[in-house]
Amino acid sequence: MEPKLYREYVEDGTLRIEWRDFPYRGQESVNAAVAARAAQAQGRFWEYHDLLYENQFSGFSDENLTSFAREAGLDMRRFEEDYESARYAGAVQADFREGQSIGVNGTPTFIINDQVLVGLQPIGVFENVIEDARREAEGG
Amino acid sequence: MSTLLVLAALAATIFGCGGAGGGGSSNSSRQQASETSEPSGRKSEDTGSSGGIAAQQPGPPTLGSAGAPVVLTEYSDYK
Repeated sequence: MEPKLYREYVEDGTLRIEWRDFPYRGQESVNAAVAARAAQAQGRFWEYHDLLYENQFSGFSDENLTSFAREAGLDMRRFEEDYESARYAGAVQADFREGQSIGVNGTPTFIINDQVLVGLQPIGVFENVIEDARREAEGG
Repeated sequence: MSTLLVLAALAATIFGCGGAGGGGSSNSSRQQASETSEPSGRKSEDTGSSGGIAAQQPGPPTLGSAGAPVVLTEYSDYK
């Protein structure tokens, strides 16, 4: 997510961001999602998430996912156990099914309160929708 | 012995629903693993686990206040 949105809206308590895995581009997508959930178990989901995006063109082989874990400062023994056993695959699966159930069929898909945005959008679009949602939530 | 059989059947019922995620093309062992966890979460991450076997998976990663008036839910793929 755009850092500007974090600074403008998350830090002041206006916005909460919730991540949902929707890995539909093959096994490496699924593996990356499972690895990120293993990082979440160590309190480093967002660090790992950022590394995945920064390195998405290098591919998500087991070796790369392990390397990212090391870079994120994870307990490697625990990460490898969790990743190899797919301990958190259920969470990934649940997210995917939830997305399918509400009609998500591509990524990224954003739902801001009840407003749906499909695909990458200019930052201004997010700002407008967030401002509208805030006014509506505040009764305005 | 019968207790073990019951537990095994229960585990098969709960965990036997198949692969993870969408990606949807593979049945690797990663996708079939058991669903136990002990998420710790960081300050802004809601791991959402609370009791019960099904609830032992971590909740969605989050950033921001639980009481925020605006919630942005992002469905995404890392690729």
